[in-house]
Amino acid sequence: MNNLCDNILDYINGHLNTDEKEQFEKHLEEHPACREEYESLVTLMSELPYHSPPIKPSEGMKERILANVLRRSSTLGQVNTENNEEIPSKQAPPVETVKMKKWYQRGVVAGTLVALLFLSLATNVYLLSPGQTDTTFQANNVVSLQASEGFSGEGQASFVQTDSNQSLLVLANNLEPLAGEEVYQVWLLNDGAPSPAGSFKPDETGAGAVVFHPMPDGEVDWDAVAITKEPQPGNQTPEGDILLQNTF
Amino acid sequence: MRDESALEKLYDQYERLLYSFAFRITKSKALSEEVLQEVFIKLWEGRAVYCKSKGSFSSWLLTVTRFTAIDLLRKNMKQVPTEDYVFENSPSEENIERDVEWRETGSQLWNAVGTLSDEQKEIVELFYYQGLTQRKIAEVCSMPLGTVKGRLRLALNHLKKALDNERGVRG
Repeated sequence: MNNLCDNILDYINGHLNTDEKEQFEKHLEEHPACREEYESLVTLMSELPYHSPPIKPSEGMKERILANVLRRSSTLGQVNTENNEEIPSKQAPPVETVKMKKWYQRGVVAGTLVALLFLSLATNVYLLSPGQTDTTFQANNVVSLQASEGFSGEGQASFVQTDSNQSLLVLANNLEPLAGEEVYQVWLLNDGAPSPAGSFKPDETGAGAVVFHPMPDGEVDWDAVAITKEPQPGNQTPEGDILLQNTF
Repeated sequence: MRDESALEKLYDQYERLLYSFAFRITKSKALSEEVLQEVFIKLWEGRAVYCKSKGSFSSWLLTVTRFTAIDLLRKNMKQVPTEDYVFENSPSEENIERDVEWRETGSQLWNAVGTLSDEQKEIVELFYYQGLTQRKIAEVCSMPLGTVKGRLRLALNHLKKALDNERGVRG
């Protein structure tokens, strides 16, 4: 048996990375026996839901769900959770990328801002630093990023509004080291369509950060943020699996 | 243009099946409701788009429900207490045809699953209903990864054959 046949179940459950997935799909085309087993297993998977005992829906569930779907259709959700869902590309906006250390070296204001934002001490951060006038930063939608299974990293993201500009701030830690040209890439999503929003390499402690400024289009209602590991910087569409994500 | 009445019709048609399947995975009514809401948000927003190449609509919708339930289960694993099953024996009046298919396929599946060993049932549960990677299953079951891969495929192929036999006997 070809070793690639062993990937059949991880393929079905969506657990292969992009390269492994492509390799396995090529394998399926070339090995009829594996293709037959795959189709047989997919058929079984489509029938197993009927092995569920009928459960009576909760009182008023229909009204709640339909009202919520129509009223706030983007408050829940996952980024690209289904297999085989294509993600359309978008024009790349300008990106400012910084490493964690450089970020902190920018000074008291930036460092304090990040610390306050991601400790979620306040949604309105009032900063005063020597030689500067008072500046108010409003942090909108501070979200903790959810790690995919098997990934131990953590992260937080937030939009920061000053008087005239909006930026995206992303901090991550406990990240796995990268190899070669690999980078961690931040994506902003609107209706499932990703736009690149900066990439970074973690420092020796596994921490990294991105400030994405200015935002490409103030009118876009970004509904999610995600981080992938990409084989090289500059990708306009994701090649790697999502490692951290959440909706705003 | 999105049609609210079509959304409601679709909801009525699949509510009980999707909710029961979500409950089978999450073992929580609250989380199952969240799963259904998320599934219908995806449909409404066009984030989950069906095309014929993905098989029948109901199979595809159940797959979307499965991945959504597993995702939400994983996120809420520490907070959600499991609840006992609450069976509903009376069929719904609106979807007699779907209920018949459910009961018939379900009955065949119960018999086929009954031919699996306890170990095979557990490994299928972890793979299918909890969506664990084979590597994670190996950790949970304290087995070498190669053993898990072999036993899981064997269990699923055994289940498929048992289901085919069940249909052969009945057909």
